[in-house]
Amino acid sequence: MKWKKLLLEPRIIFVAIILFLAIVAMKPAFERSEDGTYDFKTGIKKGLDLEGGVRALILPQDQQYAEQVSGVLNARISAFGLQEKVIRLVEIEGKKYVEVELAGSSEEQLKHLIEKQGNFDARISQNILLDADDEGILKIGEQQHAIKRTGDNKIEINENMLEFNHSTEINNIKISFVNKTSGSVSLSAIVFDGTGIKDIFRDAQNSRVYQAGANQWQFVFTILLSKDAATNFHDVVRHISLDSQNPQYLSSNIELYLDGSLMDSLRIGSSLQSGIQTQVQISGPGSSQEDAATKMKELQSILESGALPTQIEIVQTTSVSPTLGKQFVKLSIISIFASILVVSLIIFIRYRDPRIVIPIILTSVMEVILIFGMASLIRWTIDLASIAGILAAIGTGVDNQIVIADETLQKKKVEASLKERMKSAFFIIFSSSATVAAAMLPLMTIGAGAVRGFAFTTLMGVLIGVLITRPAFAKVVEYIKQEDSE
Amino acid sequence: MFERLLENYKLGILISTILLGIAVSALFFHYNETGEFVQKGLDFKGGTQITVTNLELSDATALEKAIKNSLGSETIVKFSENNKNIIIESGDSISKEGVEQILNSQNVAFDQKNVNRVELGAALSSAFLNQARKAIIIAFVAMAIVVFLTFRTIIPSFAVMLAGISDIIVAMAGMNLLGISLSLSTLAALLILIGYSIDTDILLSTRVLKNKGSGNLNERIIGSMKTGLTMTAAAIAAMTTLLLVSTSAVLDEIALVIIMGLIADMPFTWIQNVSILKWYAKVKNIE
Repeated sequence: MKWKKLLLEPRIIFVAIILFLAIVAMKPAFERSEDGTYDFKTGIKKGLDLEGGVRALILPQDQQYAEQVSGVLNARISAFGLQEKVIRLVEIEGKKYVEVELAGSSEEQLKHLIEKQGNFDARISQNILLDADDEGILKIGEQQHAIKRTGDNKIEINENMLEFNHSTEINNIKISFVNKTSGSVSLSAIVFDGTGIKDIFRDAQNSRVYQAGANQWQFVFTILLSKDAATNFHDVVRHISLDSQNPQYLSSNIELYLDGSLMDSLRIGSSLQSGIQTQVQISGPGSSQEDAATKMKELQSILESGALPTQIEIVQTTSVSPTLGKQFVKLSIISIFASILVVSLIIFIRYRDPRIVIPIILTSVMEVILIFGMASLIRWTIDLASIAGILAAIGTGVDNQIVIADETLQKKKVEASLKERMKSAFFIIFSSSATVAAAMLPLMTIGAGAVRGFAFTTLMGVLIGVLITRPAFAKVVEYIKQEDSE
Repeated sequence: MFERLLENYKLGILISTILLGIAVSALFFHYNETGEFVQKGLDFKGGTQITVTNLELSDATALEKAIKNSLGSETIVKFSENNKNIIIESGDSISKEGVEQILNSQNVAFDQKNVNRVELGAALSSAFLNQARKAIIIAFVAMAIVVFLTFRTIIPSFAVMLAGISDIIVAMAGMNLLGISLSLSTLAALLILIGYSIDTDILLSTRVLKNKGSGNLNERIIGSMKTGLTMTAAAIAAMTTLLLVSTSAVLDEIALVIIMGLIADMPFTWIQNVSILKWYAKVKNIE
């Protein structure tokens, strides 16, 4: 057979160039892994099924905040240090969801980071003694406010009524009526919240973990308050009495709340009464060094990203372990090659001509490489469903090759010329490819992840086949036919 | 001999209609029993699915009993071929720890790293189901349009689509029989099945309607049957390889659905579609 002439055919050269580009796009490389063996790495982006990790679909309750939710989660996950993430907005049946995919992370970790709304505030309670007339004084900053108990559950501050368990705002500080005894009332002031935090220190000096006792670890990190928050803080703190037994501390603690739950209650050093302090330390416990470090990172990330603008609900979670992922990679490679082999066997049984069988095998292999190359180029994630799509594409590709071979290599006497028969073969191929494409296109819009991968790779396979590999194969068959008739 | 069968196209139509009828009744039978034509899986019903791989167990039945006792009799338990992998599906929310406890109580050896969990809320899954229905309808309509534009005659185009629909119905009946539920992956398998099956029918119809120069009608039909059966055999071979090689239940299910559909494709293309075309050819005097 005129090999040289065949290889110089424009269609064949075209295929060779595209093949080369595809291989380059995949960025194949040998990397040295930890145990000294060489790992074959490619630029193909592996999905959850093949790499392990967790994927969650999150529904923001107030839909108009969907984008902000996505932003906050993005900030939180980045702040926590997870780089391999995909966060995007997905719309299903008119509702907006945020899809978060973390490679190499666990379901618990993701939930810890995401589930917290992130509403943080720091409160200090003041106990105000009432005299015989049920009157007392609340001091905040430079001002004094008159307090009078007017009922069992009511007090008046500056003649404005405040009910038990309710709040009001005084001097820009939210004050709540939280406790009462016969001779006193307790008022809790929110001295600052998440918005008052200007910066969170994460360097080794200002953020660390230490052992507090046997099996007890503590984390502590410093935050920087804004000027307003620091002023509010000082306004309240300067009027708190010293602890009579421990005069280096004040008699009230500063309580840290996250999403309404008490997180920590810290002693306030008396030195803080002397001037406006912008630095505050936040600490908390952990069951081990690792646990304390993780809890610290989580809290820092939540504070740094800010609170979520609306409540969220995790409606779907998928978690795959990395070992399972690696298994699937091996499985996928074996499946693809095994299928190609078996199909070639059948074709050999039918045609018994290696000149046909080999090009069919080569074409299938090339199509697989081209699909992967295209996927790498556009950073499409390959997951298990995509692999199934590739197998389907191989199947239809082989089907089409068989049509071409049959149509043109019939030994019988036929009236139509080679050209006409090739045209007829391509007609069949185009029609069936068009129907498969028509079936796959609506699939691209369905679901959140898996089926899109399948539809995409099948569609890619069909397009690559029709536009690139099938014409090349037809050319090869033409040459075989020519050789036969000589 | 083939020639005589081909002449008797009315018998062909009868046989294939009976086959189709059996499959349709199977679906209705399932509907009577369970309220749905095809058993819906996690993706469309909502719930939790926990997969554990690389198990070492000796008594699968005991384990299944223990799981159903603990998590509810409605829980679906599927084992892979050699009992190495197990999939547990439930409409309720089940936890990894719960399953791990059951495995431990039955002395099953496993690694915690190999426990995987998927949870899907009911609202989202019914949204998926709606989308799936729309996708199938759109896919069918799109394909019907393409097929009609290809042949520009109603009856042959209808025959092609009918074969595709028949294949899917048989595949769905088969799914019910084998206990394969409809999931996003098996849905994709059904759609790719239509593609495969329509391949063979387009081949047949093109040869019959357009290739006037390659022998008489019967010869063209038999010729296309040789090509078509090779194509179907190759596709079945590819899917069987996948089935044998894979240890993933997801890939297994996709392979089985396509295999069943392809086996059904053979009578529906080469008996049903051929018979309809023969009848059409007789009416339109095509030779």
